[in-house]
Amino acid sequence: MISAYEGDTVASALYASGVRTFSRSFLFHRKRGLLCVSGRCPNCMVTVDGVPNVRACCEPAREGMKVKRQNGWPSTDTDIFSGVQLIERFLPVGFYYKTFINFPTEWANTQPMIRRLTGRGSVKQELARWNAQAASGGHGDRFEKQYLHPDVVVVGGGPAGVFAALAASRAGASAVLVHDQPSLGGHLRFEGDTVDLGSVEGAEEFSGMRGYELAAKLDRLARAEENLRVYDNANAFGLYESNEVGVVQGNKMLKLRAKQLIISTGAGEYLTVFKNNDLPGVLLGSGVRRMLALYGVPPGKNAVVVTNNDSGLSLANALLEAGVKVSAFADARTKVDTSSPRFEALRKSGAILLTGYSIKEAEGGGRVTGATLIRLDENGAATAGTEKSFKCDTICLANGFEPDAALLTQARCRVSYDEALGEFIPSESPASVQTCGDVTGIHDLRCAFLQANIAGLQAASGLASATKAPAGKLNELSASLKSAETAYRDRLASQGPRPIIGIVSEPTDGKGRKPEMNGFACICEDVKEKELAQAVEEGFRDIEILKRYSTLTMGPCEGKMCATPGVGICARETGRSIADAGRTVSRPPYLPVPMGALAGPGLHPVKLTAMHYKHLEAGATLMDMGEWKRPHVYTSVFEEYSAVRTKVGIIDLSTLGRLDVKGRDAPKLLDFIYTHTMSKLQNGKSRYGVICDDAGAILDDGTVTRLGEDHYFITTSTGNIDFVEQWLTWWAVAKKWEAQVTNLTSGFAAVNVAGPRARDLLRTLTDVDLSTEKFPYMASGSGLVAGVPCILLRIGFVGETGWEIHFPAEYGEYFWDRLMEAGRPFGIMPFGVETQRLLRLEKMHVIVSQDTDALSTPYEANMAWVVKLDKEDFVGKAALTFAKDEVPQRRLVGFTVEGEVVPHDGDQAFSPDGSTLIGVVTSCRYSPAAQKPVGLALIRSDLSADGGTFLVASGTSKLNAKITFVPFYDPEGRRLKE
Amino acid sequence: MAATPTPLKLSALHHKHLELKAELLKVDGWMVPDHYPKGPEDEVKAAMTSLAISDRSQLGKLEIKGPGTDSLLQSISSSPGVPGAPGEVLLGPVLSDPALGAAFSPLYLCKLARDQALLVYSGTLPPGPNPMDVALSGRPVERAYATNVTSVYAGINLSGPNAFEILSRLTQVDVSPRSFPSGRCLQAGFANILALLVHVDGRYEGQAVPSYDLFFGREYAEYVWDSIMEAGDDEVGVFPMGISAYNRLHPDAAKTAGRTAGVNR
Repeated sequence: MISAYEGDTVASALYASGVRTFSRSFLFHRKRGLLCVSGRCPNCMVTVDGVPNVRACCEPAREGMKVKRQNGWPSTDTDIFSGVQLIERFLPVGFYYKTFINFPTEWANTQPMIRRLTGRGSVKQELARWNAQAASGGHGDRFEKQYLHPDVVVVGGGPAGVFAALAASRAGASAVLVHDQPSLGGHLRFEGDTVDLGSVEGAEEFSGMRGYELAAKLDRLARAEENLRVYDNANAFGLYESNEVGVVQGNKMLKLRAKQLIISTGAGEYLTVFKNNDLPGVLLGSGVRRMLALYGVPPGKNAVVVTNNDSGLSLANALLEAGVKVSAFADARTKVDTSSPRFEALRKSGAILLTGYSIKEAEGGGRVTGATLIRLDENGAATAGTEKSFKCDTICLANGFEPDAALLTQARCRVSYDEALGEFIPSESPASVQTCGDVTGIHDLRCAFLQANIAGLQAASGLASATKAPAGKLNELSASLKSAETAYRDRLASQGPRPIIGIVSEPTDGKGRKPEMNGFACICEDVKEKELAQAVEEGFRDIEILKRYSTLTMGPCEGKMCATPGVGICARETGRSIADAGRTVSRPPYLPVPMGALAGPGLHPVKLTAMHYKHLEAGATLMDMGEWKRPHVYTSVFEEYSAVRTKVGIIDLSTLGRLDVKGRDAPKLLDFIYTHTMSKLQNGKSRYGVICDDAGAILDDGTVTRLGEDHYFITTSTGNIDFVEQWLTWWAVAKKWEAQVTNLTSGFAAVNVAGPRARDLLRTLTDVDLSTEKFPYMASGSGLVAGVPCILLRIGFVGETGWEIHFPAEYGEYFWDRLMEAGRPFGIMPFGVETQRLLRLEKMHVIVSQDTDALSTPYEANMAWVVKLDKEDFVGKAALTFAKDEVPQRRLVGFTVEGEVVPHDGDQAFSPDGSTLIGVVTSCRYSPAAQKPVGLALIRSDLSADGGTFLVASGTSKLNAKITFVPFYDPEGRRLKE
Repeated sequence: MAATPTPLKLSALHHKHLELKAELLKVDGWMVPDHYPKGPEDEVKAAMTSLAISDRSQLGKLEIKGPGTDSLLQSISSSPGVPGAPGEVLLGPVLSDPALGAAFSPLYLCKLARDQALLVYSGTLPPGPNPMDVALSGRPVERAYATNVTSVYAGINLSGPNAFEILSRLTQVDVSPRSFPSGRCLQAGFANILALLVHVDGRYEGQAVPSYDLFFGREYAEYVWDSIMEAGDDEVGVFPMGISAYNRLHPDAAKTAGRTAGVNR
């Protein structure tokens, strides 16, 4: 149990409670402690409430949260697997490639073990957590997505980002600012110096106050700005096509499509490479400043500060103010003015001041107990024999910044090495991308202010909604920026050379032995300096190839800690300049993103028919049919079957597709689409229709009803409505025919009332004459049924006298109730899809896509009667004309089997002697009418003679099937037509 | 045939309203929530401070399409804005065809495309020979086709200052007031289905109320309702609103609804 203050992060609370080891490393299981305190390094990844890899330094502390350190067994403090270090020399760079290329099959056995050893959370644990939530009725974590289209997106909440966002929004642009901290102001939040932004217009509003006061003011101003929306604790993880910025904020994902993008992502410190540079107690300077200023947690009692720039001195003074002893202060620069009051304060505190010095080694076992410093020559190389050791519990590294340029490279900005600044900086940007602040390599607040205002005004200037900045103002700002930047560069040049690439080259011992190079270049993947040197020696000289071979920059920090020193080592080992060595390309996502956030909320559309709740009331079990929920069965298949065959049944057919086709060319269009002739259909009649593709394969089937001269009502199968709508519309447009297709599927509910008592039942509800004379089979009509306006079709999929009734969906429940009430005396029962499948199978009625496949023609499906080759051209005519005179390769046949075993849909069919696979059973059920299993099978046509046999392999049974083409029920169709 | 009672029209959200214990009333033959248990006052307050969601499925919808759409619209309208430009919403009594009957009162006309328009109205149309048929008078216009699509589309209204916040969580298109101001309509993906979004702001005590009508396939109604409710959170509350509060926020709609005189408690 650990207590925390409001505003604490998990890391600050743990550190204040004495925890120093936060995790164990990836390969060697070395102890790792706080390092960057800004979410950039991998060291403080913990499991919070079951969620792995949470960065403790960014995660706000909450009451009752359960935090578990990762990757140690039995515990992170005492980890038995740290013994891996003893076999280090057997794990050289490229270990996996070198070892498993000769034993590829062993990889499958070894990989799970390696995966367990490497920590980084567990999907199994995550799944278990989700399952537990689901079992307790929860819905798992909540994920959200939001899509915004602001004029300007600013990434980065430091002073430059806020200045730019204010400038853009004040110029009239709608702006969004995303940043990864809880409050705006960036490093100003822990700066006590008084801010002076110079004499530029607008600067006076922000000058004359201390850094943290300005940070607070910027925070207030940004939130009060009407056109500016600020997202705190939000990480921009990638930039995609059309300036789309992916942002993750906790479990929420933002997709920002910006007209203009301002990148002010700042710069971060990286890890210097030296022996034991990963020991708990080695911290980056900016991390220490955060601990002191934001959480009031001192990093230790006795510190050594190692730096090569001005930030080190501020850091050392901040440590003194917090009561931390500074044993030694090493500045790699040689021309530093050590007479300033801050140096004086350090001197007075008893700190040893060393210029031209840097660090050689951190001393200690599980944590820092001392530091060895060493003098550098004018080339930045260490000089043997100049070592000085100091006792300390903390080593603070302030050895330079690396611009956070990932988004810049993704924005196709050109990023190149600036010798004078010692950093990779943007040199060319697309017109829709602006940059400002530390990401430009200029670490000067006055420059940042000017850059930001220029960026904000330029971003807004191209927008219709924004006011155009006067050219004079932009010129004035640009001139001021130029002089401020020159002054900054001059100041830098006056301070002499410094090791700017994050490595302190070890001295040789003069006996020809190679330096140890035992420092970690990559702390994510435990890659040491010597391994990079070895990789270069093996020929991996290009930085991108070196990256892939060594896994440098490929861990969770995505190169934030190791890219710069890695490039330095590559350059040194290959004898090239840093500019020539280049840098690795960052690709999105360059920050970890929860998979749930990428997936977003579970938006899975569900379609309900207008009678859905009536089916639930009746106790139906539901099945999914595409997005629809349909009743599978209500009571039992045989009870429902019996009602339809002997009394009357109703089934909800609302899911059928329905199209209204109007226009003078409607008959022509339907003739062209269907294989049947629809132009000759009489008004008030319906016809079964099949749609084929150019190869003559069946695409869909349904009914076509003529409502008027140029007006048709079409039904399609449930799953094909969108296709048929597009198919008809597409052909109407392609042929320039006047035919308007309107999808009315949603507007109609429908039922099929079928059975010998169907007519008797409907007569109680309608005045429409339903006699066979007036309303014969395949006729249609319209009128009121139970007071509801309906279209009635005399068709019957299930083989009984019946009417398919389509009516406006809002009457669904009312209509269902009336039918059930009126049908009670006739023994009415609702029936589900499963019963319908049995009923239609007894009639050998085909279900397209179940009894046919993507190659089946009407001839294969025994439906030659639907193909009218004597009409003008239609889709598939050429192929079907050819197919008509050919023997089809396959044929759909009916079959029966004797006995109790009912084959399954999809069972395989074999030749009578069992030697050859000849096809597949497409449908099979036990038929009460035939008193035996009946089915349809698509088999080789040369073995499909009427009365012939084939074998069906169903489970372990081999069943004799007898072929028939006569429907199993009412073969003459009398019941259907009576 | 036995005498049958007047058929009852139920919105596809009827069972949501029952679940939320709405008090229902009959409007133009439809069962419509008058208010939910907290009452119309609270519902108005929710709409003024956060977001209210209302079922508007009972609105009539008449689709006109075909190359002769503009000519047809002009032949049955005296409104100067007709036929309008694609994406435009024309408010008020834009059509005045006596064949549409006395119980027909137009609310607005959405010009969806050059040759397609959707008229949203309150009241009912005289029945045609088939359920979706519409008879129009005026001079015959070739190549224009009218279909009553009232039953096809369910309708949901979102009213309140947080409307954009919720819409932007469910659609990828730019629905910010700058790009999609009041008086505009667009068809877009919404919660992974296709929907028509109509932006027509309401007004309450002199203050504009952001208001959007959404029309989509009726069968998706419960799914869309749930998606909107779940898109809300502690910061952006979404509250159901009955027709009583809705009419206060949309006095123009209320006026035309009154004219159809189809309200029974």
